[in-house]
Amino acid sequence: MSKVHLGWPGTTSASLLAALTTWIALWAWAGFVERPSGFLVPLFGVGLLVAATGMLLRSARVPSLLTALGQAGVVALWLHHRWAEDLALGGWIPTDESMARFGEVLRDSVTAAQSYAAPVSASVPEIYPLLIVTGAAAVVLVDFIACGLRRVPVAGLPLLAVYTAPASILDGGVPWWGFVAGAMSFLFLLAGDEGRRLSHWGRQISHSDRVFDTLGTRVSTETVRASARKIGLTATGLAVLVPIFVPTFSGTLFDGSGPGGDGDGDAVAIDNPMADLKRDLVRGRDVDVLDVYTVTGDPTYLRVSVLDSFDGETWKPSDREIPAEQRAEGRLPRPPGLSSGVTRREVTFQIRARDTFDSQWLPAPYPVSSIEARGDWRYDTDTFDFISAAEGQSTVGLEYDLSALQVEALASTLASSGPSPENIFTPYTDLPDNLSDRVPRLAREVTAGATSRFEKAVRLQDWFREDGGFRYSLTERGPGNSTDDLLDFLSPDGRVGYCEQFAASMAVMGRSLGIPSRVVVGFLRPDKVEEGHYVYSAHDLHAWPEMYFDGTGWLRFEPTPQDRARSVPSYTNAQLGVDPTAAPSAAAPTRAPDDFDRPSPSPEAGAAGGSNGSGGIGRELLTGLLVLLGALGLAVLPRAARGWVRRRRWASATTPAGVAEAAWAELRASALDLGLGWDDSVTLRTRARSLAAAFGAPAADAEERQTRSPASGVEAAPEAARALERLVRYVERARYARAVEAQDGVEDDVLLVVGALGDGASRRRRLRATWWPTSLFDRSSSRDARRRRAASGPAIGEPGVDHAV
Amino acid sequence: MTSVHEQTSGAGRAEGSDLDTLARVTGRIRASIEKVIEGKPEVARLAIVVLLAEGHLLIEDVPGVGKTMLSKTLARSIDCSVRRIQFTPDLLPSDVTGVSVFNQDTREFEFRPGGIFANIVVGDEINRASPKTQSALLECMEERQVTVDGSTYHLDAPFLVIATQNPIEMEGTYALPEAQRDRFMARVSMGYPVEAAEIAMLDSHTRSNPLEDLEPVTDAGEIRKLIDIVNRVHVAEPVQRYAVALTTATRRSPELMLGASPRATLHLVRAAKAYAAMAGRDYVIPDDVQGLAVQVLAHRLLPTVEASMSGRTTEVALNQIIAGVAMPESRRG
Repeated sequence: MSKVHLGWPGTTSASLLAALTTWIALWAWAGFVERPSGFLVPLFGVGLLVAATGMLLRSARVPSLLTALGQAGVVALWLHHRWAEDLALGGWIPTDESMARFGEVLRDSVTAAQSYAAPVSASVPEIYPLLIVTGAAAVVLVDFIACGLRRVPVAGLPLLAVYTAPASILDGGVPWWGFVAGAMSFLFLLAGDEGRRLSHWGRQISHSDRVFDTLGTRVSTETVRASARKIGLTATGLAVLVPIFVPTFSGTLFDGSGPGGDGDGDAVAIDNPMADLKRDLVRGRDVDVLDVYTVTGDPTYLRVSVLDSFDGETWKPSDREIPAEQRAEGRLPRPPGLSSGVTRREVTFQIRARDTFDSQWLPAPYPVSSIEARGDWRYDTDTFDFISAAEGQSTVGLEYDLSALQVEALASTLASSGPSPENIFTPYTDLPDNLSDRVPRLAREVTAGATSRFEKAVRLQDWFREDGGFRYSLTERGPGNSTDDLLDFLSPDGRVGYCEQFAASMAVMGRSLGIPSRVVVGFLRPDKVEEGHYVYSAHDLHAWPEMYFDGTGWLRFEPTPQDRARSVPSYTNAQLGVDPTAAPSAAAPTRAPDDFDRPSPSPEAGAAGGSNGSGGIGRELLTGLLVLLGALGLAVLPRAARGWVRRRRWASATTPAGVAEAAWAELRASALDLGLGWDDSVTLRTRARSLAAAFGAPAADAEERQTRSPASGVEAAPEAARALERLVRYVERARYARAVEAQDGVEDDVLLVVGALGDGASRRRRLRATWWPTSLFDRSSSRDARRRRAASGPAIGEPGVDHAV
Repeated sequence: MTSVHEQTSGAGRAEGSDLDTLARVTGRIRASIEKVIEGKPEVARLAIVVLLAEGHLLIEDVPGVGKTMLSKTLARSIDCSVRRIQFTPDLLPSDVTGVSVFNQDTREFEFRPGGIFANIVVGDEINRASPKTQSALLECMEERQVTVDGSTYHLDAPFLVIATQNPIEMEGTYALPEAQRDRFMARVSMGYPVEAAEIAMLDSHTRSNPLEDLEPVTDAGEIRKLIDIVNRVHVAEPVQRYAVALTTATRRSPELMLGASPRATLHLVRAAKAYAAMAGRDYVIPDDVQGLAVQVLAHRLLPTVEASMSGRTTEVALNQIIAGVAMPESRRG
């Protein structure tokens, strides 16, 4: 073995390759956050650290488990330095404070992960530590398995776990190029290892290749490695391609570009706003759909469509008659209910719909004062939403400019607003006849004591957000806002849902209280790309209620809990009757978008997110961790099983003869584990002689061994040789003598012998014996023996020689 | 008969003290032999094994390697009656068994015992005698009695025949028929001594005859007790099965025309018992059987024509058979 060069790339390249492979695999997590560099860059550093530490420790012949611990320690130290440098002694030495900070960072990260839906905004950097720590764990684990244990194929398990986490969370799964890149890298890692394994298969017969070097016994393994690469590439190619042609495969791997795809791609289509809402919210892979440019305006709460009609089954836009003069060109009339006395400010927006956004409705803030949009888009004077009036016209690639009013709504004014006019009141308080009495009763209970309609509306909003015990979850409730869904949602046991239920329920309850209400579907809040440039994505779709208060007009409310919608409109926050100047900033009805992006996730929110298992990516990361742990568990399973067999073997041996057989069986299993082979058909002494030949000196004497004592054989471990002799005699007595007496120290003798065998085996064999004990699976020896017996004729039924003797 | 422990006969099993005695006595015999035959401990050991197993030993080798010396040394080491019969082509059966002669004084026929009447009989160059004479000897070996003119005379125990023979290719030899070879428990070849042993031999043998300095180290009575001890050595069922499996395998081997007889199995187990006792054990292990198989079986087997044409000896075939026969199931019932 030592003379044959086997092409193993050496620990240096193997370590680096293992780290690189894991890092590439971790690209699959890019979908978790909007700015993947936030964790991928640090993880690259982690990879280098792990590889370097691994090389250093392995070159010093540190045991692989200790190496892995050392790597984890170094990574932890580095992360500690990153996150708590100012509190650490000299920036590096952990102190109580710095450790507390370290823990805090991680806790915050877990909380953030539980609070946010993937992809988490770039403005939530708290998310990264969790990803970094989990990723680092994967890097260390893969390095440990691939380089420490040299079980490269097994290292595929944690890598698979890394890929599985996003595949199970994000609809889009893992981008195909990410998988192929990871697979290629893994292949290279395998190739080095498999080349050696393949060399056992024999060489490919080739006329051109020189098989033996002229210099000596160096076997050329080029053809072997080529075979390894070919096999690996073929397998990976098949793994990627075959599923495409299998009908059940959704084709998400190729985003519809493969033959199995549905051609739908990433587009967000909005035809029926409410029905499309959930689909886009839960879509695995977020897509950017809108660019909004505004310097002065507030880009949050961009309306798409107004659902003003509730027929007991669903909220939908009412049939609208929109004459040609209401084209989205130039100025719009004053929005309904807005009196001239209310302070307002006109701000401009430039909106560009991307090709991914296919809608019959034009997203716009409320209320628009003037608009210029190409094509035939028309507005409704009541709802102020814009709808396509031309066949086949949609928002795809559309750019339009508009001005909108930012109305300074004051709680005090709202509280004293007068009754709604008939043309608003009648249609917007209409409820289906089949609506249960429980809804209005509940609405009255919730708003009991409120003096004004506005106050009632605020009470409702607060009840949904905080007091009513509602939870936000996209997964625990399907779409639907019929009266039955409503009743279920409002019942104490059913208070979990997403924005659709919250908006619809508040609107229905508002109507039952005589407040004109409607539901709006639109976008909640964008990501700020740069100053004045915001981007909305499909996951930002939202629904909220609007309520009418005479003098100010339609105002939005936010009943959806803060897991999803961070804040409520400022006017609903203000104390009623307080000086209007106390209300926050100028005319903005809500806070600036950046305020939204700074959540202060409370432990309750975290707990809720964790328990309902939605929204946050914490659970998914947890799943990933569990899968990693599972892989680790699988890895240690054979070892544990071997230990169990050993203990059971000793425990079940009660008679002296039983102990002898147990000792021999244990010795046999240990030899098989070490790959020494075992022939049951030879005598005990013959067996013992070949065992003793495999003895090695204890590791402590390694240096001494090189100079003086022999490297293997009986002389290397005289103690073990004596123990083996004692064992053999004991087993012989047990098998062949008339009676056998118990012998002391049998178990110790076995340990001594097994220890000497281990010392004589290569490091690799020892590791394999520990982690992959083949004796658990091996039945070949006894089969061998049986076959040989069969060849030598049937066993003789009647001995009786002794009688003759 | 210096220090024999009292035997606890009737118990049916060999005691530790018995085995000690056996080891001591056989050790003395071996030491005695080694004074004369240098560098051949395994041959000396086998000779004692055969003695204790109540078998007969066939020593086969080229002239001059010490065959006769070995037999004489063993005989001299034990204080018992020893006879040497030089087998020649004109040797008559009655020379071996004895003859009835008419006593003129008593006017009766009286039996004059032949060379066979001794505890140890050294049959030198046995294959030089005519088959008729060989047969007379071999009948005595098997029956341990001599019948002449209707009267039967029992031979004393211990009774050991050590026969030497030259390889059959040598001139003036008659091959022993296979039925007669079968009566020898074991065959051993002396082989040439190693260089150092040969030099040592030159030294000791040129000064004086070492045989003459040799004192008996034990006697016939003690040997009988040792034989009794050996008889009580335990042979476990798996070991019996192994011995039978070995001999059965020789009968099935395609390379052998004639396999081992049941008598061979018997001899094999008896020799293994003696060997085990000499190793200080009161039980036989498969290694004993395996280790003696070649010496005990090889001389009884006949290779097929094909095997002998291709130059494969019975030893080679036998070693292959031994390697191919698995140990019996190890678990005790």
